[in-house]
Amino acid sequence: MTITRKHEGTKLTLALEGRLDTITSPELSEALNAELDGVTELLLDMEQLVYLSSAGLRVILAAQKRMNRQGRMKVAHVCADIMEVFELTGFASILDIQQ
Amino acid sequence: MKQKFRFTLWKKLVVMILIMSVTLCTCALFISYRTYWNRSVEFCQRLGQSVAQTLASQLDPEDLDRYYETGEMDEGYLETQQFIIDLVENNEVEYLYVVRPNGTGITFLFDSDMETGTDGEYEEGGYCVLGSYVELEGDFAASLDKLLMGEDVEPIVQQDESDGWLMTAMIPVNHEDGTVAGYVMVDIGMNGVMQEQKSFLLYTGGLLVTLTLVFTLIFLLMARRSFIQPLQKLTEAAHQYNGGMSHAQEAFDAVQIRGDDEIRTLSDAFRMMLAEIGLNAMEQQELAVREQQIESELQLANELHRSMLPKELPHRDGGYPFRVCGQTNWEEATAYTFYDYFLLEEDRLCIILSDVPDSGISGALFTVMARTALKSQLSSGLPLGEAMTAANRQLYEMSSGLCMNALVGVLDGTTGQFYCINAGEPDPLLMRSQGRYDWMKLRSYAPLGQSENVVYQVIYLELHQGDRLFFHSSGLDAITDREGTPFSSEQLRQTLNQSRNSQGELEQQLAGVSEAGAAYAGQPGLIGGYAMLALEYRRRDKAQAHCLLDAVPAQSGRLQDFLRDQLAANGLFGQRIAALMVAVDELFTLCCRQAAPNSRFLVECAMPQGEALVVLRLKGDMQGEDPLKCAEGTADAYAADFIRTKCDRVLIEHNDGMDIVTVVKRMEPPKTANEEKSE
Repeated sequence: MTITRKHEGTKLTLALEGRLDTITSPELSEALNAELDGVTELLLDMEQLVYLSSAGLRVILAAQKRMNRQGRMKVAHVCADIMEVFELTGFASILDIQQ
Repeated sequence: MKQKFRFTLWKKLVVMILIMSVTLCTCALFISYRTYWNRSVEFCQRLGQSVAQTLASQLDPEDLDRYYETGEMDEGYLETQQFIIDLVENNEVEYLYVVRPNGTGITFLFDSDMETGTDGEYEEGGYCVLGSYVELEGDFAASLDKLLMGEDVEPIVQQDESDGWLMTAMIPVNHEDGTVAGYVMVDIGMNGVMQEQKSFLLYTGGLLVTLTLVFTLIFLLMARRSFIQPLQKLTEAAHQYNGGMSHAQEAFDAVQIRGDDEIRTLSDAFRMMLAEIGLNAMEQQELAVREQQIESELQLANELHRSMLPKELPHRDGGYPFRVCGQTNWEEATAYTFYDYFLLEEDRLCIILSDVPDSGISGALFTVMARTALKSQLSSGLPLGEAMTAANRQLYEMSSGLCMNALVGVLDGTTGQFYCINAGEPDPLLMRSQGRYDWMKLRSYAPLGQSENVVYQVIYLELHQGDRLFFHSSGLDAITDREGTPFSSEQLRQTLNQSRNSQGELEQQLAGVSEAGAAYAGQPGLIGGYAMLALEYRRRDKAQAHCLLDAVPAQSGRLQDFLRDQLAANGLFGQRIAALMVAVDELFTLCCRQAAPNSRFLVECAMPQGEALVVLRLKGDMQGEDPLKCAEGTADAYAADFIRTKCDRVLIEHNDGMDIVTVVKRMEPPKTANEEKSE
């Protein structure tokens, strides 16, 4: 999985490309731990993300909890398959999903 | 069923707010009433004191003394009296009077209410005429000391039967030396004030109660809407959750929280929790799928493993000069153990007993590859040592931390020579034709694939007919009982040496060991995976042969055939062997009579080369009895005598549960043609 970072002041955009699964989710977790200090707005761009497993969901949930304390988080450009995963797991009601 | 009273949050809220409202309302009313009363009293008091002060300033203490003592109403008295009347008329006072405290009461000096008599004079009229004495009562009596001392006295409010509520203000008129001359007292009517206060209490109280009720109701409604109802909705949504995410989603989505307060935080926390639950469910699902996949792969690996076990050797007329049998136990396998045997050439058998200490997919794959590599090297025609060395190098290159324990042997069926190499397996046991298993001490090399440069040296052994070898993997030694004591090598040896095992067929022997291991463990969980291989060399040679017979007289025919074939192989037949054949037949019958039920005899026939000697040995369980010891005069006794007569030597031995009867006969040399002609 490829993670592209973009900083704009206190806004951080992470564009995810590839698969977010058991093998790649630690990579995203490390990136978030390293980059979220001082960030008040986080945007996860999932346009190029093709697969999301439970391990990836857990990383997203942890990020959402953290951003609830220090700002807000948005998820953008979610494909139909991943949206279905969000709906089935209840994540659609806790994430700010923007199409 | 009577429902238990529940003090809900709503009820608590209502009770708290009502108590607070009532308390505040009561306090407000009380404070305002007291303030109003105090103000009213203060006004009246000021009025009274003002009027009294005005009169007191006009009075002369000396005159008061005089009026008190003489009771004389002179002109000055009348003027003062008129002044008093005028003061009353011009001020809102009820009564105005001057008194002199004395004794326990007061003596009136002046009084605005003093009535005139029929002659218009004051002397005869009225209640409070000059000089009339009245006892003090109530608060006045309580203030008597002060009155007598000429001190200031606080206004007294009391209810009069005829005048209603009156406030009496008092100003002392003292002499220069401070002694009291009199008190000017003013009675101010308080009825109006009382009435006003009642009205105040009524209207103000009513207003406060009404406002309290209205605001309490409004507050309660707002509280119900703001957090009781959202809490109830969240509770309802939580009750509706039954593990199904979509249904729970709808229930929680229906809960609309307008504010941005703790209730909203609670609602968000619920949604977060729901998402966590959904995530856990998804992870469990993925885990179940993964487990199923692993289970399928392991099953496939096990099936692959089982398929590697050898089938029967190809059928051959006349059979093979050896027998081989294997058994595995994979109940709680922690390693891939297997045995294998195959023909290298017509009469050369290769045996392998092996295990790979890994029970996963990688272990299964490595086992397959290792077995193939080893078999390939062994079948390549290389000598055993070189084949093992080459196989080790090959496995070392392809292994990723895995290695294979193996014991490999090659039996030459023609010569009985057995070559073997032990690379990490336990030592085998050897049973020679004496019938007892003992350990073979082999040099043990590193497992195949563990070290690159290992040069394996072969151990050589010569087998004779009836010799058996027992091989086993380390899993058999690892069997433990409930206390954790391992199945020792001595226990294994003893199990093998039980007669039913040592003399039984190979399958029976392996089954006996397996049963002993299971009995020792007591429960399947204490038995790991293991493999066993039994090998018996059966090639008959002229010098020594053996056969196994059931201990029943019906087997006598087989014994006769065996002996005849062995003797014929050594060039003995016909008349020369007739006596021996009969003697052996009789001996077998006598031994059968003493044999334990369902036992077997191992019959050995040895004919040392260069000697015309036949040594026949019957081994079996004869219950410690001497088969040749028979009652005199019986047919058995005659048979025993015949045997002793025809054989050069008869030896009976009892050895560790095994009875051995040995007969030795020196055979006569063959007769020449002339000797036969002369006969």
